[in-house]
Amino acid sequence: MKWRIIRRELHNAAMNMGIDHALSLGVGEKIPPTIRFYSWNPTAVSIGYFQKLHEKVNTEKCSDYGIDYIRRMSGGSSCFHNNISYSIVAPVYVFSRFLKESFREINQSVVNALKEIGIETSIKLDDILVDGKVISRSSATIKNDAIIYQGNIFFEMDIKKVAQLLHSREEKIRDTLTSVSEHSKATEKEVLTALEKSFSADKDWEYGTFSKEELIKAQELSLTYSSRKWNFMR
Amino acid sequence: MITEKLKTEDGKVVELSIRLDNGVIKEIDIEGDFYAYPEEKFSELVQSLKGIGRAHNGYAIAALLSKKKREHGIEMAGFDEYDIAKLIERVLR
Repeated sequence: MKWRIIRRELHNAAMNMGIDHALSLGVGEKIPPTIRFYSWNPTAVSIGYFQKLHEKVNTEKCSDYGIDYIRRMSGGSSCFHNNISYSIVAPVYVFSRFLKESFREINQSVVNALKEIGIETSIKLDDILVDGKVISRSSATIKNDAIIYQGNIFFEMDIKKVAQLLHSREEKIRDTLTSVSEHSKATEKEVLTALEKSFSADKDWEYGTFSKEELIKAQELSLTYSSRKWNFMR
Repeated sequence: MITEKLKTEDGKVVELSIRLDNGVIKEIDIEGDFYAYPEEKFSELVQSLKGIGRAHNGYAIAALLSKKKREHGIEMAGFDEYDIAKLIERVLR
């Protein structure tokens, strides 16, 4: 099975959801298992499928800052996205069928990548921790017999802004979240290179791009993810 | 609505909101940062708990949830049916 790696692209929040959903519809058949790296333009905050948007996100502040907010198709916690995100979309049999175990399998690659840039971490389900603080947060779901795994590495953190956006206090954010820039001099590019190397280890892979059909489907699905009905469903 | 919440062993928050009518669940919602998929099926499972009342103890509720989980092929991570049953029991008592 040949994997496709798509180098970092910039998309808005709804398109990022739309792309992952679109890939899940054909992965393992017309679409190769894919590891894609991306950033959010504009930057965004996301919430898990089972969270309430207005409780977790200060949507007014988001509008003031020009920041997107979106409900993910996967569960998990609210998350601020700025620099380094990745998604893995693959047939469900590629990883453990038990979500907890697949978190461990995939997060181990992130742990290895962070070690490569000099940061020792540990895994707690969907979070990767440094001294008890979250440096990487991920979420996952299984849709259309595909696993959709979405991960985020906090490269740097504007604590004040994140606290405002997530209805939190600066002290709480400082006590619970951290970022690569607090522990390493590695650049974003070096982090991405380490992640790419770690994710592709032991895999047959090649760089690729999205097909026109994938992008059209993603665009179509992004309309759902940008809708008020979806984002305010809870 | 009555709300109860707990933090699971995996550090996930599960929050239950219930409206009772004569001790029986009339409205129910469960939110939090847990994982359950298929997500839509889990939401259906939650709604199927309407009608449960004080005659059900925590074990009976957990057993009912386990059965429905199997029937609908639902997988949960970060929490389990015992967490939900505990919360419901707290409200019903």
